[in-house]
Amino acid sequence: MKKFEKNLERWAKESVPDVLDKVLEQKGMPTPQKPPRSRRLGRLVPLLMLPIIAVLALMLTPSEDLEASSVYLDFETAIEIQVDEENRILDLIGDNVSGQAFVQILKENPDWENADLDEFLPVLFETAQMRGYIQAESPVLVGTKADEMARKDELKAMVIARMQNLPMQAKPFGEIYDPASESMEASENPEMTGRMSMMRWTLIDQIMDADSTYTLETLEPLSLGELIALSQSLDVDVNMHPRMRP
Amino acid sequence: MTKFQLRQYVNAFKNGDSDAFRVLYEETKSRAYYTILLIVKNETIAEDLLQDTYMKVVDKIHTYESGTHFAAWVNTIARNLALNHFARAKKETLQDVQTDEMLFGRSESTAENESYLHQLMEHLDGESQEIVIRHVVLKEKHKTIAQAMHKPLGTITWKYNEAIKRLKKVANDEEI
Repeated sequence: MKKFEKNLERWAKESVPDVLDKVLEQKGMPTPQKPPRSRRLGRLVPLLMLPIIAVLALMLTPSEDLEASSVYLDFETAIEIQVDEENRILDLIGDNVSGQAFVQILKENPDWENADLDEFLPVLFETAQMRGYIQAESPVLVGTKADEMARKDELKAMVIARMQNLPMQAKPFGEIYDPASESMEASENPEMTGRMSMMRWTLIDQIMDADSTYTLETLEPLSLGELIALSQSLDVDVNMHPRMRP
Repeated sequence: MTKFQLRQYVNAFKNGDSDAFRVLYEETKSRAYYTILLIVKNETIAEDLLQDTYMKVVDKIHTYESGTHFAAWVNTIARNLALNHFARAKKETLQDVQTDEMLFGRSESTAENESYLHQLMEHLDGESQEIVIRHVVLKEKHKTIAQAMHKPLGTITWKYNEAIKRLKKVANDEEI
């Protein structure tokens, strides 16, 4: 964030009215003179120091500090699922027009927020099937974004494994694909935002890299299935994860 | 503050440590306040609802599940209180339901108690105020803002950049 926006953020924080004393008073909680912040925090230090093992675990697992990560799904309907480090859902965002409509439907379920991603995926695919947002045998593109590569790969592996093991009634799709993860960062082309999903753009970008005779205009109208077939014919690095069959 | 530290404070607060509550309040109040303000569009009402939010946090902390995101839990309480207020006020056609969509209205407060942010924001229209607060304070992406405000992404990006330019100019050129 730029310096001026940082300042704006600080001014915004300073503008928040202080209601703490009123709350403490009304709730009969002690309202002593506020000691300096460092002292107040200092009183909590023993509390933080007690579970030494947990602290060590924290030091050894920097992923605890990670900000939100994202899972991208594209089955012509494209959505982004933002999750916290415990894979609880923070937000659902439509990544194309169809995705935006689908997200509105998903958000009609009041339990979506903070839902466990693992438990939410079957609901998502069942809903997509019931509302006609996905067809049997449709290919699904899966991608992830996170601050750290390890987290990104771990999240992707989890989502793909979960999708492969969904019960049949919640698995109305064909094969699962993930474009090479290194290209995902580069694929966030702001000019394309709103025109197509990030996943589709990744695929198109890779095809154009592999064969410069293809242009955006020729590739944009193609279906996901056609793009994947083309990618494979050009040896573009698109991993396929076969659908498990009972 | 890391999620781990946040959990330690939540546990301490659950065990009756009011100092931990203060830390949690400081950590979450900004997002909660601006979430409320975006809905009720009235700073005085937002302040009252912020107080109600933390009263409820104290009352309901025993129902909070440790695995969930504490700041998101507080925000949900804040948003629900604001939505309830808004629905009730609309139903009763109270005068304090804003129609001009300004977050920082010109008639809201006197010069003495206006914050610096308020004075800056008065130079923007209501829609631009909302876009800036959503992006800078609530950390929403332009794409999310576009969806929430039912506007094209390009409009949001353009309005945001124009608003920042305007605010920079006001902050540099004018004595506030």
